[in-house]
Amino acid sequence: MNNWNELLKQSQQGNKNSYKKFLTEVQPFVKAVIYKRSENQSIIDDILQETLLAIHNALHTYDSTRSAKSWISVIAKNKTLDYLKSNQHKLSQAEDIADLKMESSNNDTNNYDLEKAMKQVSIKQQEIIVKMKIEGKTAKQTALELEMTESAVKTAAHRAYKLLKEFLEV
Amino acid sequence: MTDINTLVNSLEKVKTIRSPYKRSIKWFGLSLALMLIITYAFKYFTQQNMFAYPLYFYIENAILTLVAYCAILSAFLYSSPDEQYQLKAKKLAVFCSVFWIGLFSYCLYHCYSMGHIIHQLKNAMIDYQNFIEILSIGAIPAIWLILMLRKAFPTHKRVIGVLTILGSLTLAMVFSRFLDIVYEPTHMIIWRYTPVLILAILSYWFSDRLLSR
Repeated sequence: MNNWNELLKQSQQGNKNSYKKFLTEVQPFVKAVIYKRSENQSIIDDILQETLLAIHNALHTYDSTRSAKSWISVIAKNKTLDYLKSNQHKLSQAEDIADLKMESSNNDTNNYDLEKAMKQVSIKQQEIIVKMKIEGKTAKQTALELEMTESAVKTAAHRAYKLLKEFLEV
Repeated sequence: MTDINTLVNSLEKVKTIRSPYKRSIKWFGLSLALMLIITYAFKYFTQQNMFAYPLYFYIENAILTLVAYCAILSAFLYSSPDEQYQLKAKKLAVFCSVFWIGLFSYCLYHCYSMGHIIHQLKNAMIDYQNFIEILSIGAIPAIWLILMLRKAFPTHKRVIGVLTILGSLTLAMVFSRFLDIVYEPTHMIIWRYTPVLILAILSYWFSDRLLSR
């Protein structure tokens, strides 16, 4: 980790090679910090991007006499919390839209749109959506039936909601 | 999506900022000087004796000054991304909140024990100019402080916002007290402690915008 201190110090001097090496090496660590606060795989990459941008903008705040790991960790935690706070309503909105569309499918309206939208997600995700949103099963029950872990079901469902939302809103 | 190559290409040599301790001392020193000048200007027009107060007055002000500095230092530490600094910031924030509320409660108790709070309330309601004095003395240092904190990396923006307003206006409150001829606890509560507390609480909701770049 001392290497990161050195790389950061050189980056502050404008050394692009050190900076590139640092940004590449630091990614697994940043992902681990984000994962501690959000196990949702689909958003980890988004937060990683925001954290890297924040690191770039906060480069002048790094004190080379202090731990680089601690500096990165605080930035990553902060960005994770910011992201979760600002996207909370969007994530639940995505689920709401999926709910609404599922209800409308029961009424035989907009079936065509929904069928098209469902083609955007994988077979597995379609199965999960049908089980959770039409059959009303919980993530745990769905996981048991599909022989998956509960968190994998939640992640797949979340990704599917996002895709459905994007498609249906266009 | 943030591309690493884009970040690398936009890299330039950066000028690192000083430690939060040095920055807090810089702000505190210069703000004290500025507030002193403004207070003397007010004093010049009102022609009052600046140092004719009881001992308790000086003790209370010394504690308030210490609390103000702790709040400011905590805000600076919170705006420095470092786990150790964040821990210290948290402790300082708790310390200054406890002491500030302690003094506020003591003042309130003092009013109550004097037994003439209702009577004093009626008289005190017209002294809103004291609040204007606090704002006049504390506005520039507070704005400067927000700008200094924005340059760093404010992590807990809402907490920093509260600490910023609490710290800078408490310091302004100390100076504005030298503009009063008499020491009056009810007056202190209504026109000094309470407005500062209300502004600090309000800042909780505005800090996100104020401290974002």
